[in-house]
Amino acid sequence: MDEQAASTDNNDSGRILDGLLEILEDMIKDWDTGFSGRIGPATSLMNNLTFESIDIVMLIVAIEERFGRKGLPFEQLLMLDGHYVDDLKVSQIVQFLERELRSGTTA
Amino acid sequence: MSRTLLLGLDGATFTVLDALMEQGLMPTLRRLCEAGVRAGLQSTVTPLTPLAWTSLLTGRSPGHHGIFDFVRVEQLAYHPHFRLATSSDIRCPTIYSLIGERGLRSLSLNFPVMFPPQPINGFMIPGFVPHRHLKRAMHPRSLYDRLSAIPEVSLKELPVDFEDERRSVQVLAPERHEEWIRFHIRRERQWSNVLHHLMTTEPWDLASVVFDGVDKLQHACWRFIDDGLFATFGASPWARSVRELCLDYFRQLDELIARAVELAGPETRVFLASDHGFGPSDEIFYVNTWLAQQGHLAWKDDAPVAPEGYINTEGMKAAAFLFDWSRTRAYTLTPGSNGIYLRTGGAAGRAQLARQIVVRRVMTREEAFPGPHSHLAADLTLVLRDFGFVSVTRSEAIVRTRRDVAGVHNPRGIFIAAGPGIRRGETVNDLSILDVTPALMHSLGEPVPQEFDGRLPVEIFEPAHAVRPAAAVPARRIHAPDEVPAEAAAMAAEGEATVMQRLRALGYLE
Ligand SMILES: [Zn+2]
Repeated sequence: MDEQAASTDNNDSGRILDGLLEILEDMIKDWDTGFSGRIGPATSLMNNLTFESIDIVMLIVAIEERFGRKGLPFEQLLMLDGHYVDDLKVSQIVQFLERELRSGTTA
Repeated sequence: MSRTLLLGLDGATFTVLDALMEQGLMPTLRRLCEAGVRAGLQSTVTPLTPLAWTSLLTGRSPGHHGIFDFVRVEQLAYHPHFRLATSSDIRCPTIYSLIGERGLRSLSLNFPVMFPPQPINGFMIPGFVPHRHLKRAMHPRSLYDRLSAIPEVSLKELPVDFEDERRSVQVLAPERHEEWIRFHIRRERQWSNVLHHLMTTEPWDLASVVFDGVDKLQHACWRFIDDGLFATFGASPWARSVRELCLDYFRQLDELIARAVELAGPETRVFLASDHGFGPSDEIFYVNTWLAQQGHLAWKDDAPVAPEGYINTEGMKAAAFLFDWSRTRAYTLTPGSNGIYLRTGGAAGRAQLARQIVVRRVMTREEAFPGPHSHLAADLTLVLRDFGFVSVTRSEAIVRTRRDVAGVHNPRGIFIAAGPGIRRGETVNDLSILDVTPALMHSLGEPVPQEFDGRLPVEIFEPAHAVRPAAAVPARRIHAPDEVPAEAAAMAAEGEATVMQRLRALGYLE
């Protein structure tokens, strides 16, 4: 019940974006990224924030903890036409979460 | 009650340690055995790091605590996929929270599945966390900056590099052995330095750490460590130098054990335990190849075939990427769990397939992992002849001889206890890993929760210390079984491979 309530609350994209930015800012705080701007929807995880595959795994954990939902089908986000995406933007994750968190609440 | 020190030696076996003690390379371990009690320690049904340490920390079997692998397999309607198992997947309280609620303080270093860190009464640094995420992984977070300021601590050396780890579990190139062993010697010293710092600056009742280089070295270097095996091939100077380094690892590990025991002082009870043991393996069972031959699984046409003698193909895609899901009814995703999942068939299907499999033992999930969360486990769990792990790769034969004899996990690990109220110089019958938690609770002067699955091993204690009725402590954090999202979005069958591809970096996925 609590988990569903949490995801309902987080369902609008503004809240999802805020939550994701908070996770990312916290995560990369001490990394040597050379990225000086503010993280926003257009920020690229791999190109701007130096994400590697293990960092994606850890990000997924953080997202699932934050939004109170586990087992989200992240491969839908990370695969394109049978190939791994070599880049991922913040806005793509937000769109994915919007869709997935919403579908979860009606399940 | 006594302060209690738990030193975890990941994958330790008396097969190796007894030889080292006899050769005088591990004098502290020998002294602890002579001054205390020793026993073989039977691991969880699958002798795999995440389940076994979680059992030791919760006193519960996997069917109750809900951890079955490094990853959690999610059975979505359209395909299986998996993600990292985390601390919030553990469905029972750990000993840290049980005693924390009673006001006792813990130090917990390098235990798996503890990420994200739980707000225990004390300090925690989970294991298996990459360096860039270490700060977020510490409880409390301020511990990171505090440790950064200590000259003897190099936080960069605490974690393993996951890509290195993956390679070492498979085949370690000859020229990389020395660097790999030296890295683990330095790494154990780092954990020891952190332990030392916290034990000397913080109040604690239970101090615990896992030294996991034992497991890492035995995986990559078993044939150099095992006396008999080494005698059969170890003539070259290179082989002798690798063996020397391995022995040096254990010699230095013994020093770190001595350092912790000394620091803890004579009033502290010391427990050494492994999560599982280790032993040799010279064969490979290609489980998915067998399932394919039986008509339960179909490979995609382009699925690569393992070179003879190898558990894997170099640069291979994750197993699920290689299956034709439209014609696959049973499959194994990860080697560590030795688990076969059925897509249909339920209990009857499990029982039917179990009868066909030619290995030491096949257990349905009801047998292997009884408990409220057994539905999260693989349908069938295999126990192989050599207790090793299956290969999930495509192969031309079902069973092959390995190129080199490898070290693989074994259910029989180690248990040693010493200190006030512990019997001296005794060897007792094998204990279960589930008996360690009651022993720790008892040592800390706490009642043993009734729902624990093990028993208090009274035989390790002097009679006056042994008997205390267990009081009921209610279980907490018991969640309803997860609901499986009902959506059935159509998607490319390749999809499930992606997260696995990412998770392969974790080292235990083929
Ligand atoms: Zn282990």
